[in-house]
Amino acid sequence: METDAKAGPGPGSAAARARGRLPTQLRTLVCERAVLDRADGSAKWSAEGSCVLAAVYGPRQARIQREDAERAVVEVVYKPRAGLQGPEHKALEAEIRGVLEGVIPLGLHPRTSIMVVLQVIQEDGSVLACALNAAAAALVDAGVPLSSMFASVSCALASEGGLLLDPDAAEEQAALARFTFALPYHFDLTTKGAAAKAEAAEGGGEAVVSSAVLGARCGGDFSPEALLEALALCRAGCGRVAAFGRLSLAKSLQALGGQ
Amino acid sequence: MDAAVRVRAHQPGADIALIERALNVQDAPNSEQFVCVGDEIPTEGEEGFLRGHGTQVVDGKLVATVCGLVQRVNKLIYVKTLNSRYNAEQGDVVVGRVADVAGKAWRVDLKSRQEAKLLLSAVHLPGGIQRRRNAEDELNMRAFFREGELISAEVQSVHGDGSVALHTRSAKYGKLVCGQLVEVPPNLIKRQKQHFHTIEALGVELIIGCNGLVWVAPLRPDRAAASADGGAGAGADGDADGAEPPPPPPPSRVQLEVVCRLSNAIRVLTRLYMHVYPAAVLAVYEAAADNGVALRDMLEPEFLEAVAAQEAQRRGSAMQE
Repeated sequence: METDAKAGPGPGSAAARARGRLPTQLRTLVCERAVLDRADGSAKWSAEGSCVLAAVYGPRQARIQREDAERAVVEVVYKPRAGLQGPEHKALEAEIRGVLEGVIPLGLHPRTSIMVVLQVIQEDGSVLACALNAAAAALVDAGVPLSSMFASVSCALASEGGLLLDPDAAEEQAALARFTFALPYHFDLTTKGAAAKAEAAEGGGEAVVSSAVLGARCGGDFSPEALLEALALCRAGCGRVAAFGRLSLAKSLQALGGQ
Repeated sequence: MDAAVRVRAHQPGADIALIERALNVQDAPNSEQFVCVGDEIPTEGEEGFLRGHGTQVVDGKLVATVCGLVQRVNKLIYVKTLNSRYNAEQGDVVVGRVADVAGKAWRVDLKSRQEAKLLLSAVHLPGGIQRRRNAEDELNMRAFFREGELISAEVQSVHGDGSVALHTRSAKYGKLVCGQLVEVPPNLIKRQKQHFHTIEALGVELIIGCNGLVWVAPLRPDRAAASADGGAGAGADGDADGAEPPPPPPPSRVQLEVVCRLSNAIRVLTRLYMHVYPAAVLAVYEAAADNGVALRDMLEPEFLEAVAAQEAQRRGSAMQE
């Protein structure tokens, strides 16, 4: 369940990346679904060095103090790889919750709670993007209705001025600024022409990444132009993550498709 | 002496590989039926369709909100996911655990999206008398069901916001004691005419709750009579049922083994993602009993393969007819 992202021309040159990776090349992605027995849905998303395990519990009865009579309540727990949760992890929880609330139709399940637990297993840069992708896959595994699928990708503004997609920990450390975007996407299966139709029937189709942004986390020293360039680069990256996500889902649906 | 505990490495996907091998489902399903979140569901040529679960309308197009199979029943179009929590429907027989006693109702956990409510006025009073419940009844609610007890009930109604009301207005519903509970994904339970099954030959009682909780217990003579009478005799044997029925005699070892073997048979069906209904459960039970498979070996890969092979054979012969 791996896919290699296609290499493309980068917006700026950057120094040689580890193992000859191009500036706009994503790391190898692996997604395992239904990893946990007791959770309603679970997924493990890894991008070479970074790996996050997500578990979704719900929609289920919310605690009385937390229940809302009109909508579901989304609770996120983000557990770091080592040590206790700190304020930075609480901040990440709030951001992830914001992204998920944007994509789950909460009015469908009043008085319930949807709990998403994210456990970081390995950290090597772009951990927030990894966590968001894992949460998306786990929500799909749990059968929670979503108004749109989303993908998340990080990029870093290197000190030489170029943008690096999917940075690892060393690149993030040395970067001037770091950006993480979560973008909604859908697949356009209505393609014209017989040949294109055949490709679409196999599960091909074009990933159309929306121009709206679900969530953004940016930090560092950057100009507005750099922000927009980073957004454009991440949009291309999300397209590839979307294609991989669909491939991995199609494979896991095939296994139980005979029922 | 045989080891009391066996430890085996977890192999993710081993069960799926087993199912693929035995039932030969490698061929990709018709991909037009599978949709992912955000995919458009084709509705050309269908006018006045009803949209069901798992769909939403975006810009005049019907779009899926979950990943799964598109199902069309008459004019209803909905998307069925592989696994989901139980959705209550009126008239379903369910097995649930009492979570709380509050106000004039019990809150029952059905492993669904919300806890269900069992109102005091929806419970069968001892003696079968029909009268208005008063304050004393409210104070004695724990005499009926306490927190943590298992009950069987029927879904009386489902409201617009998803809340479920239960009732136990029949002698066959009520507290469940002295047996084993097996949790099964609710997708594997088919709605049938009968959910209470008494297997006289084995001396067990099987309650297949639509919410995925299956109860297996040794047959007790008073419950056998109650289920035979159904609701009709509720008033007639009111006097005999005036007090709490006497506690059941402790089950014998033979009875316990039968109950455990049946429970394991249900677990085997769950592992192989096969529907759970009495005939299937009994078939697996007999396969285990006839081949002398020990109780704890029933969940080992060898027995799972044997059952899967048996199912493949059954499907093959069914298709040939």
